[in-house]
Amino acid sequence: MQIIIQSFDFNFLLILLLTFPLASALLSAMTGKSDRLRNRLLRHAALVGASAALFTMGLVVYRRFRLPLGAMQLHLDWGDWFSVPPLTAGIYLRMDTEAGILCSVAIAGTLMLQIINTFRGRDPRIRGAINAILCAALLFILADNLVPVIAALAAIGPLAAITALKSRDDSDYGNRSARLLLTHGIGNALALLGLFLIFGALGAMDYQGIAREAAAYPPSQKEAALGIAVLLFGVGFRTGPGLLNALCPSAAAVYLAYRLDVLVKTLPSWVVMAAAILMGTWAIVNIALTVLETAKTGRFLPDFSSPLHGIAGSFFDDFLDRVVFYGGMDKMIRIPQHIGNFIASKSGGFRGKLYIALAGVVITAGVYLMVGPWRR
Amino acid sequence: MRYLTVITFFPLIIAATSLVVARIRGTTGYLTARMLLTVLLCLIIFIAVGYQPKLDDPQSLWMVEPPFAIFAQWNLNYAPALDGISLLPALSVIVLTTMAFFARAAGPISSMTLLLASLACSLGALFASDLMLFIIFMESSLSLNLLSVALKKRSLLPVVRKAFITQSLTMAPILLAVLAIHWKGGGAGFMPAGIVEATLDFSPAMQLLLALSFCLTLGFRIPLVPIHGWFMEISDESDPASATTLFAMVSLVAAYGFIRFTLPLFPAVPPLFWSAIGAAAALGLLHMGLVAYGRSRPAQIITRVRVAAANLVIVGMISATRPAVAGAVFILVTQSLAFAVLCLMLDSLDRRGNPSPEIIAAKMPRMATLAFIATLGIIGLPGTAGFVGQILTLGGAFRSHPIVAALAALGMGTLSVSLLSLLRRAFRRGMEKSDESIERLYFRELLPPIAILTIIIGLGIFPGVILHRITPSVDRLCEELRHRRVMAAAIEKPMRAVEDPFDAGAVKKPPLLGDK
Repeated sequence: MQIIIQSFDFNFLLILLLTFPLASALLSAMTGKSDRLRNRLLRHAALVGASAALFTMGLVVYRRFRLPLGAMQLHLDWGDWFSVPPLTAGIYLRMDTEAGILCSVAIAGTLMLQIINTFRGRDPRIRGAINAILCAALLFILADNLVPVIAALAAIGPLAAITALKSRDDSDYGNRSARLLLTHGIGNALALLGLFLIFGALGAMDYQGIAREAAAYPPSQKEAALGIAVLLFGVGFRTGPGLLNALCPSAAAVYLAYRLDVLVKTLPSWVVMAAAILMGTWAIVNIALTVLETAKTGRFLPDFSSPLHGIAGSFFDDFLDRVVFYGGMDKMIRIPQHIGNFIASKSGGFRGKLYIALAGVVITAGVYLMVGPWRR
Repeated sequence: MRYLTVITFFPLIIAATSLVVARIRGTTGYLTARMLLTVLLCLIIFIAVGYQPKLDDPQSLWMVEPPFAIFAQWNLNYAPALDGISLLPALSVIVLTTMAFFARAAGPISSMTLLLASLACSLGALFASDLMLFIIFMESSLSLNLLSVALKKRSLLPVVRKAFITQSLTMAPILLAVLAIHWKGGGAGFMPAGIVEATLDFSPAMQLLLALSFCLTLGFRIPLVPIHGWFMEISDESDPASATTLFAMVSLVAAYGFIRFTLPLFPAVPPLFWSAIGAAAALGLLHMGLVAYGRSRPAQIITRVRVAAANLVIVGMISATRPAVAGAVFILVTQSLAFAVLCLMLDSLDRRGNPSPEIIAAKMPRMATLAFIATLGIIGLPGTAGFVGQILTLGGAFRSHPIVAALAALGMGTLSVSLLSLLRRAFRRGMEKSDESIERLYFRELLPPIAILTIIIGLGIFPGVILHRITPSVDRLCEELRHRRVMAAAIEKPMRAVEDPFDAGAVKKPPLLGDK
């Protein structure tokens, strides 16, 4: 057994990690609604594919801990996707500890979703979209260049809209899906603007190039700082009513902030201060809303997201700034949304969103908790 | 090595003989097949020529064939030339004409003959290294194409007549400008090398005036937004195949003329002028996006998206950075492919009485799916060719003109909204119980769109296939542009110095590039 596991090359494992969700997506897309043998086989094959992705991830984790130098990074270089210097987009996949944890969470979560969807007998094409989202999410996590990162985000938009479209005959689902597409579109445009600002300022798109250029970048110029702020705002903007749509943006923005740590640190102090003030404001608004909601429904439904961000940040001094920054951004986006939902009780709803937001924050905070001690 | 000449004149000869044969024998079906074969043959020869290894060599800007004098007294030579930048528009023109012939609504034989002649002229314009010949070919192509549209649908005659008048009026500035360059430059001829040398001596004000003339004429044909009305009128009323070929042959050629001749010829024009043109194009893109949102018919929306795409190309070109120019050329070909798919789709719908999007979704799900993928290709979904073109264009433009690029990005956003709202209508159920019966979609109708969509997705995943061919030419062009601007600035400084009565030093022009 040991020999079999050792025989797997890391690069091969990374390819498998992306291939299995994609294969599952294709299989799910091909599956019909009826209970024919072909459909049943395809349905199970898609589930097997999703499980295989988790198994592959398990192999990666196992290998990582078995290695004498546990901090070794896995990387795969597929060369340039396209290149007209200086704008070069490469497909360099890289997996370190943080990426590994996020990949595991994403794969396991998606598998759970698929199982739930299968047993509830939902349209198999939605499972196809979920798998495709997983594939894009893995690309987002593993990519070493901002262009594939933005490409993954842009692909997630329409896919997320498909997952929200649980029934094509129900106009409520249709509206929800369209709204989601619009939110993702605005988020993508902002992220793209951030990408261009960073590229315009630093002339690099890959993480290492950005780190190199940022070190030599004069602190008096603020284009790069503005770029990272707009980029993170764009990534965090796309919250939606569904589980995936609420979970992914928060984790994605924090992860990107972590990856572009060198740029986040160039943010002016007033931005961080403003974010912190917003966060405080949100905490007060949140308490008021919670009291109102409790009075209305008779159930106590607190939102721990703000304190959790703070608690998570307090563990790690160097993370504090960006956690506070992201938290502030997050709140700024969500205040009108939550108030709107509370007043109009629109799709997704206050309560539904609260649980999801809570789960997202727990996972995000969990990543910090797990990553921090190892980094020390 | 006379492939390019053959490709240029072959369709013309076939068109002329077909017309004669049609007059004598009246065998339309046979002639249609023959014309289609001609275009396909052009495509095959062209791909073979395009893969000449010489195009990869950054030292050889043009793959020039031996010239032959057309009008020796005027120094007018036809020297067909091909480089990475002209390769893709030429390929797009041939592909789109092929699509127009595939579409059944290609029309009467006279209209098709004119279309073939127009193709020959477009190719002539794209291969011409001589500015005067470029203009002659471009104008002939537009005229023939307009005639072809009018012959196909007689009711369009008033609109076409109006377009002819506007064409004649807008042709005057570029002709006057070129003649001014020729005479003021001491009979410099019309080849780029001679003209470049001549224009360097012009004052910045004169260069600005000439650049304005070029922009007016080419802007009408691209079409840039304030002067785009003629294209809208014809596209909205004519059939999809005609609109697509008109766009391909006129817009692509004019956009090519913009980058090949307008930008390098006038290096002393203040950057603000180019920024203003870029801003106009970006605002035009935004305007088209908003206007498209208010339209309901798919054909109308697609016409506006076409114009918007042409404006995006101009945004990339005026920025003159390597990624932006490469992206603009990439968009020229990929958008054309996506529009070819939509053209075929619209043509199929045209023959079924133009049903509403809701009925298409209910009765023709395969067509709706293919249209969905083509639209995503235009919007620029990652994995399709549109993404690569747009990110290169906007990213490159952002480095030199951030506000213009931001406006263009916003315009692309509004365009996406209008296209997605169209798709939303097409994918909403609820019309299945409609009693309206529609003729089913045949396999032969689905095959060409599927083939093109495969190319669109293939280019999205492996864009290097095309970028590799165009990058050396783009590098060379941008480098020349930068070099000429430096030279123009160097000339301008001593000229100012001469005006100082206390310093009457001789003006010394720096040596020119020894190319061409």
